[in-house]
Amino acid sequence: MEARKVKMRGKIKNTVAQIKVLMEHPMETGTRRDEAGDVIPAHFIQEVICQHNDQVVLSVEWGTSISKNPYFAFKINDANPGDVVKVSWTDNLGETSAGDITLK
Amino acid sequence: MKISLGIMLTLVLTLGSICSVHADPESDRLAFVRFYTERFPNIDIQAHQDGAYALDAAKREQWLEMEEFPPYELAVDEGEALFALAFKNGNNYAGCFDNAGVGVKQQFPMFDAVSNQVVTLELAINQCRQANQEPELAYLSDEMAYITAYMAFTSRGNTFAISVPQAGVAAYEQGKQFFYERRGKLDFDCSSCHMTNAGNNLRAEVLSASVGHATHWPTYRFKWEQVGGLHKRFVECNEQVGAEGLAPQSEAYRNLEYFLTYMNNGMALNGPASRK
Amino acid sequence: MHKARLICVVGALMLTSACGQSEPEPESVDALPEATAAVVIDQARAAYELARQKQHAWTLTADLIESASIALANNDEAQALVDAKRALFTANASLAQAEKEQHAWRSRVAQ
Repeated sequence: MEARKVKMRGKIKNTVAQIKVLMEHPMETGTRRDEAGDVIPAHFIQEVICQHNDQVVLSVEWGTSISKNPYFAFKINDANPGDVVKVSWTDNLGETSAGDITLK
Repeated sequence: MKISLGIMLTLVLTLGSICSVHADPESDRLAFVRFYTERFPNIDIQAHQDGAYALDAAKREQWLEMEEFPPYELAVDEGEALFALAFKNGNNYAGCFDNAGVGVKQQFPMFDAVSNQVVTLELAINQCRQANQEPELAYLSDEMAYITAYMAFTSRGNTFAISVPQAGVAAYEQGKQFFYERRGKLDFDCSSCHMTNAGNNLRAEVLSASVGHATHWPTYRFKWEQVGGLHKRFVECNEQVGAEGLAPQSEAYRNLEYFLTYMNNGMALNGPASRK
Repeated sequence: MHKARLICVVGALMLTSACGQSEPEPESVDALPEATAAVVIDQARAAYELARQKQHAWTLTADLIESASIALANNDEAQALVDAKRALFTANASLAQAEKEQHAWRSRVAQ
């Protein structure tokens, strides 16, 4: 299966980069039922790792309260044009995906 | 011959209620727009394409921040891929629309005199599929939302110039009736919220103007966590006032969309949009 | 002269009665003191279906018909009757709304 999309935007302002991420993911809580009445199994992002030039600057643990197709924003200090920012995630079923941008 | 005043009055009133003078659509539209320019004299009529975000500065600021990285982007990407996909017989959607389906959303809805009905974009998409021996898409399906999101995206900036030919007048009038007809336990019609109370608060929300209601569809609603069409919103609105929603793309809703879009003639399209 | 006047009077009366033509008088809830829940549920359902045809049904009516039916299935005749009467009342109200709105909508059109 093709890896789920991770779209990113980044803008530097006074060496602080504002990073915005849109992750494609169903984020099923495991409590919803389908039309047949069966529980839709939980399927959600558990860990998100953000790297700035290969150095981990932020790691987040998520649970079922995060909505579908999560939108996530954070700031990075000491950011310069040419820096690479990468965001990768792992979900509870072992699926992974990642995205990256080069700051301008 | 002396006819009493009472009898004359009865005759005139009953005749008047049977055959009320039908204003033409253009007169209706001018009166419609005038309502809003008088209610909101400092807001340009085009600005109402942003709905409640044209009326509340704080909400607008938050919304503009979200628009920097809009939540409907994924839907537009999916739609672009789906639109390009060929049918089993080798044809594709581009063959069913003007300009290969790029920048054409402002043509809809249109009145088709041959089938004697209002044709919305969603209906046209399914007509295209049917003509190419493909199964129709469910009107509330993701696929329909994605394709219309993509087509709306390529049509941004184009303006509505809907026409009501003689054959379409009945459909237009039915749509107009629906707009102004009270429904549900709450006994509201569309104008109760979107004209009489436009700009006022309804619980935590600011009520938007109807002028600009047709420009930004389909819409990513945070409440829905997905992109949905105008008829999905019609169902929701009807149910919110305690009236049973009708089927998406049913005749009544298509006629309502026809009236509503005509009222938005001259406004620029700005879909897909995000809304709370 | 009298003939012309008579024609005008008759004409006016015919016009007014044509305009006033409406559905058969809706069942009054109070006129059925001995009705069982099952009977009232059926009446509510009939009125509800009529309202649906006119595209004026209320969600509340459907909910009340369902709760009445569930109460009846659980042998709670008293609760079923309460809900059934409410269902019939709201179904009739939605029909009255549909009837009134046939003409009343025009009064709200932006001028």
